[in-house]
Amino acid sequence: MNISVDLIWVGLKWVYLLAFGLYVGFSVVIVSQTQQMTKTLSGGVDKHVILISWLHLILSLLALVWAVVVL
Amino acid sequence: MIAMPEIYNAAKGKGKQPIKRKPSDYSEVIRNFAHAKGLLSAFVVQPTQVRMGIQQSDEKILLLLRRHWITNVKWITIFGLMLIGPVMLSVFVDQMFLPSRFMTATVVLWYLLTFGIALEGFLSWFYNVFIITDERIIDVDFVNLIYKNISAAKIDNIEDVTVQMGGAIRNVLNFGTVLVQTAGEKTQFEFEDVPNPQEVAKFINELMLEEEQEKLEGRAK
Repeated sequence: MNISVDLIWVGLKWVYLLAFGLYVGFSVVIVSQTQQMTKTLSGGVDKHVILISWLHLILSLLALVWAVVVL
Repeated sequence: MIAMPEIYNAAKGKGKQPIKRKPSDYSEVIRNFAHAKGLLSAFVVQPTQVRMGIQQSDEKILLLLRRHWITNVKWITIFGLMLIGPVMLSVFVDQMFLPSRFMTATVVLWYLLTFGIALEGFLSWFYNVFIITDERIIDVDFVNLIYKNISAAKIDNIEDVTVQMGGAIRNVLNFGTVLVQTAGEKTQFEFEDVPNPQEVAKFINELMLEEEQEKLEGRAK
């Protein structure tokens, strides 16, 4: 009984890690896209937009690391 | 040796005609909306800080258009609901069978997704622009952050400009779609949900007239 319950949590852990991993991928897409966008149209908020997208990527990477450690 | 008589002497220096007139000289729209300079605005006249990657050295951006701010309500509402979602659902947390570490991970993932949706919504609004320069009209489209499309047509190639405004909200908030038919490779440009669509159409007509005038006066490039 305990073995099967443990298996559920292990399976769930991998589902969560996959979700966090996918989110990191999404964050990478946002970073590259903001660079494309600011090259296409540069204005007064370029630096802020790029900074926010990098912070977003760092945050999602930290969340992934946290999930690997905690889950 | 007899010097050739000077039959015609083109004006040099002082009397020389400028190659281009100032937009405010020929455009009533530019004069009326000269104050519209906000960086986060949907209707920006002669933005000084903005520059396009495909902009030519002597080309000036005269009008930068984005969708009306009301079109952001959808993602802002979703963002707001997602922000308060976990708080509202906390009533049901006791009934869930997840261990606390999984519950925390769910909340972290949820708020990351919330932030991502807000960022994607803002970027899509801010960088999907319609630009009118003194030479061209340009439509910059970024679809779902992975697809980019930039179309441009010369002012000379514009054949027809149509304004579409339907519905109560569009009429009250004065926004709509400007359709520009061109003789170029892309035959139709859609400036969707832009503020002051009638003024935009009027401005394009003013530019077309100025382009004609430039040709007549030999000022065209």
